[in-house]
Amino acid sequence: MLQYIVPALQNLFHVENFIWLNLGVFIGSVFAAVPGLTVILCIILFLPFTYQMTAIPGMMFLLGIYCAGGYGGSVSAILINTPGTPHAAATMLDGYPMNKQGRTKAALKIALYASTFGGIFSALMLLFLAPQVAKLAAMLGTAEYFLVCLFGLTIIAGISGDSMLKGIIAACLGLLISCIGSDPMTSRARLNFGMDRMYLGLDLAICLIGLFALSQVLTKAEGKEERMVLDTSRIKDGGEITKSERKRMILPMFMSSLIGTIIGIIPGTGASMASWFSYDRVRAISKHKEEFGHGSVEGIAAAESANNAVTGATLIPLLTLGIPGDGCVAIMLSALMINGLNPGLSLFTTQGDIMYAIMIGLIFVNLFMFLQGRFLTNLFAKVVSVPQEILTPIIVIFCFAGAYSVNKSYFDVGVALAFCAIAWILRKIDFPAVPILLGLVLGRMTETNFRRALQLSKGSPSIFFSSPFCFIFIALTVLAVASVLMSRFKERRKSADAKE
Amino acid sequence: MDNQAKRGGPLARVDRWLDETGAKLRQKEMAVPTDLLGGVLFLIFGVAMLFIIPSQIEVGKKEVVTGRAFPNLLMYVLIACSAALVITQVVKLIRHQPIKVTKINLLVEVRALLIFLFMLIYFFVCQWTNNFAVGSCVFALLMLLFFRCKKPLYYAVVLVAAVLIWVAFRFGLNVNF
Amino acid sequence: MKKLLTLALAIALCLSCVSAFAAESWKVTCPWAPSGVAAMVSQKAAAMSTTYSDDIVLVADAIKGDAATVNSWVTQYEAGDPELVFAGEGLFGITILLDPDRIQFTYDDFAYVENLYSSVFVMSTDANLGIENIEGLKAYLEAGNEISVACNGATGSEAFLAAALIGAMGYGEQLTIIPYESAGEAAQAVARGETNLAVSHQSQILETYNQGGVKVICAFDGEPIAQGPFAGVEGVGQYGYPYFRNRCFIFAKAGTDAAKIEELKKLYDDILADEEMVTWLHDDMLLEVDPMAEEDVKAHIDNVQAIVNEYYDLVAE
Repeated sequence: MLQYIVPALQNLFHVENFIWLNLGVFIGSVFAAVPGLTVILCIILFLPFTYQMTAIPGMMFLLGIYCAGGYGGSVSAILINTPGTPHAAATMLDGYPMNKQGRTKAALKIALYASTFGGIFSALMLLFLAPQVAKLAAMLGTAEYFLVCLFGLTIIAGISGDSMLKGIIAACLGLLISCIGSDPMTSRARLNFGMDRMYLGLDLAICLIGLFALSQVLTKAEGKEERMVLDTSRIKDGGEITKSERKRMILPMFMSSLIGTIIGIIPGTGASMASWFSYDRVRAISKHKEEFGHGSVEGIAAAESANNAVTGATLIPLLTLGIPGDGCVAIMLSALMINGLNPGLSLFTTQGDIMYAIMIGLIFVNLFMFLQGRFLTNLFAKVVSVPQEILTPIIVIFCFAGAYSVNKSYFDVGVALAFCAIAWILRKIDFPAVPILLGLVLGRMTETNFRRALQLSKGSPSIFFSSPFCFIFIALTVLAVASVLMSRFKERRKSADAKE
Repeated sequence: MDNQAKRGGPLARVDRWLDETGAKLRQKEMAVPTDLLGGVLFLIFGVAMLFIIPSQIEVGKKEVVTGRAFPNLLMYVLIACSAALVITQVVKLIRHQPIKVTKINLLVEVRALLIFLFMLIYFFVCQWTNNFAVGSCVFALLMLLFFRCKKPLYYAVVLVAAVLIWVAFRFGLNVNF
Repeated sequence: MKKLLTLALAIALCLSCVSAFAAESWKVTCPWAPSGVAAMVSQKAAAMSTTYSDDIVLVADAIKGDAATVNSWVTQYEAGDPELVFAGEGLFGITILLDPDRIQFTYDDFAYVENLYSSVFVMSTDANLGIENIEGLKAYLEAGNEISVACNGATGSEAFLAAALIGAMGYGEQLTIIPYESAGEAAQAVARGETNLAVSHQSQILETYNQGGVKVICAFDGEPIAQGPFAGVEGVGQYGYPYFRNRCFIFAKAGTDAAKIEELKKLYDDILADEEMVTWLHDDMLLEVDPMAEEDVKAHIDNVQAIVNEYYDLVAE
C-alpha cells in the first residue's frame, strides 16, 4: 500500500481535481437540500460531464456530489421538516424541533460536524481496511441479509410514537407498498391494478416527496406558520453548540459511524437503513431518551454521521469486488469503467496510484464539504426567514420537478400526490408516517431475502441458523425486542405508580 | 380596515366575504375518535386487501414461498393490530373511560383540500399543456392568491422562480417537460 | 431587485435561443439502469459522436423501466423525431412471450439503425464443486445432483440460457433458478457456495474469477471464447446445445426518413470502428463490436423466442 501513496498524492494534487471536487460538493449540497432532488438523480444528471474527464477528476466530482448529498439532505429536514433525501428522514425527527426552538444554525452545524465525522471515518476505513472488510462482507449470504432486515424492523418500536400498534400498522402499510411492482423472485406483476407503469414499483424518493414534502405544504392550511414579512429574527442563535452538547455528540458519532460503515459494506442496504439503525441504537443507550423527537443533539448526530459513514463504506465492495452497494455507487462504477478501470482487488496493484488517489481524495471531499458547509450553513439558515407565500410554491415546484425527473414521467408526480393524500389522512387520524418510510426502505429487501433463502434451502428454515453471523443477528434482534418490551413495561409501571 | 375596504371595492368585498366565510367555518369543529376511526379504517383496508391480493398476484407452481405470502402475512398483522386498537377503544367506551379524540376544524380541512386541489390543477395543467413552466406559473399564482398576498413583488419573485426552475431543469439538466 | 429579475429572465431567454439553434441532437434512450452495460456503451458512443459528425450529436439517456420505458417512448414520439431507443432480445424475445400485456408495441413500430455490441454469457461454478467443463457439468447432473443457478433477475436472458443448457441435457427437473438483484450479487452467491452455478456477462464475473472463488466452465456461444481472460472456454454450441448472445439494438421510430437512418447508422459504424472504442469494448467490457444487418437481427430474435418457448416451463412456471 505504502508504495502507492506518493504517486497517488501526486495524481491527486492537481488544481483541476480540487476544482471538480468542490464543484461536486457544492452541487451535491444544494441538490440534496432541495426536497424532490435526490443524490442519485443529481449523479445521473451530471454524469455526462465526467465523460470527457479522466478517472480521478471524474470520480472527485461524483464523490463530491455523493458525500455532500449525504449532508445536504439534512438541511431541508432541519429547516422545513422535509427530508431532502430519504436518508435524512431520521435527522428530521430532531432537527426540525431544534429549529423550531430557534436553534436553526446549531442544528445545521451539528448535522455538518456529524456528517463530516462519519464521512472521514468511513473514508479511513476504506483506505486502510478495504480488502479485509470486503472479504468479511462477502461471507454474508441471503439468510444473513434477511436477518439484518429483521433486526432493522425492530426499529419500528422506536419510531411509533405513543402507540406501538399504530406504528406496526403504518409499517405494514409501507411494507405492503414496497410489494408493488414486479415480484423479485418471479418477475410477475404484483398489485399493479392494471397500470403498466406500476411494474417498476414505487420509487422511494417519490414516495418521500408525497409523504413528507407535499403533505408538509398541506399543513400551511393550519395557518400555524404563516408570516407575511421577511423575519430574520426567527434565527435566534448564532449557531453555538455548548461544551456539554459537544461531549454528548462524541459517542453517538463514533457508534453511528461504525454502524453506518457496517451497513454500507452490505450491498443493497443503503444510507436510509443506516441512519434509522443508528438513531434507534443511540436512543437505546442515551441517558437523555426523553429528548429524542424534541430536538436531541444526539439524535441529529447519530442520524447524520451514520448516513455519511455509508458513503465511504459503499465504495469498499465496489472497489474491491466490483459490487456497487447502492444506486449512486453503481453509476460511479460506470464512470470508472468508461475510463477503463474495472474495479476489483487486482486494480489495487495494477492501478494502485489511481485507486489510492481516489480513496485519499474521499477524505478531502469530506474536508471540503465541511468548509463549504460552514459557509452554506449561514446561507441555508436564512431559508426559515423567507416568507411562506414565496417559499411554499417554490418547494412544491421543486417537488414536482424532482418527482418528474426520476423517471421522466408524470405518473410519478401522480404517485407523489397520492402519497401526499395518504399522509394527510394519517395525520388526521393521528397515525405516524415515518414507519411507512421504514417499511418502504426495508420491504423489498426483507421479502426477497426471506423467499430466496427458503428457495435455496428447499423450504427448510434451518438456513436461518446456518452460520455464526446468523446467530449474531438473531441475538441482536432478540435483544432489541426484549429491550423494547422492558422499556414499555417500565413506562406502564411508572404511569401506574404515578396514578396511585 | 384599510381605505379600500372602506370604499367597498370588489377586492375588498371578496376579502370581506372570505373573512366571513372563514369565521363561520372556523367555528365548525368535529371531535373525531382517532384511534377508533383509524383502527376501523385499517381493519376494513386489511380485509379488503386479503380479497384483492389473489386477483392481483399470480403464483407459479414451483414457488417455495409464493409472491402472495408476504403481502398476506402483512395484512394478517395489520388486521390483528387494527382489531386490537379497536377493541381497546371499545373497552374504554364501555367502561366510560376517555378515548383518544382529536378536534378537526372545518376551516383547516377546507384550506388543506384547496391546496391539494391546486396541486391537482398543477398536475393536470402540466400534462395538458405539456409544459412544466405553464403549470408552475398557474400553481404559483393560485398559492399566492390562497395566501391572499397583495405584494406585487412576491408575485414577480415566485413567477420568475417558477420559470427559472423550469429553465434549469430543461436546459441545464436536459429534462424535457 | 427589479434589475436582478430582468437579468434572470434575460438569461432564461438566451438559454432558450441557444438551445434552439444548436446542432441537431438525437437522444438515445436506454431503458435499463444507467450503470448497466448497454447504458455505458451508449454513453461512450455519445461522447464520441462529435468526433465523427458535425450535424448529429448523440445524447445518451438512461431511464430504467424496460418495457414501460419503451412503451412510453413509442407513444410519445413520431416518425422523424430526433429520438432513438435501445431494445434487445429481452423485450422482443422474452417479455413479448412471457408477459405480452406489458408490451404495447411491435417490431414494426421501429426502424432499425444498428447493433452496437454482442456479449457472450458465461457459466461459472463454485470452485469447490469440482466441475471443470461442460462434460463435468453433465456428469454432475447424471449423478442425480440437484443444481441451483444464480442469475441476475428471474426471467432474463441469463435464466433462459441456464434453463436451455440444463434442459437440453435432459436434467431440467433438477434445476432451480435463483434470481438476484444484480449480476454482482449472483457472482458473489456462487463464489461463497450459496448456489452451484451462475450465468453472467464475462465482465461481471471477472473479478470473482480473479479472486479464485469461481471457475468458468462454458460460454453461451457456438465457438470457444477467442480472446480475453476466458480465452479457450468451450462454447455450448460445440456440443449442440442452444444458445444466444446478448445484443442491444438501436432503433428510431418507424417512418423516419431512410436517409437519416442511414446517416445515423454510418455515424454509429464510424464510432464502432474507432480504435479507442474497439479497445475499450474488447479489453475493458469484454464485449465484441457487432454491427448487424436487419435480417440477422430478426433471426436473432426468432432464435431467442424459440428457446424461450421451449424452456418456458423451467423458468417461468
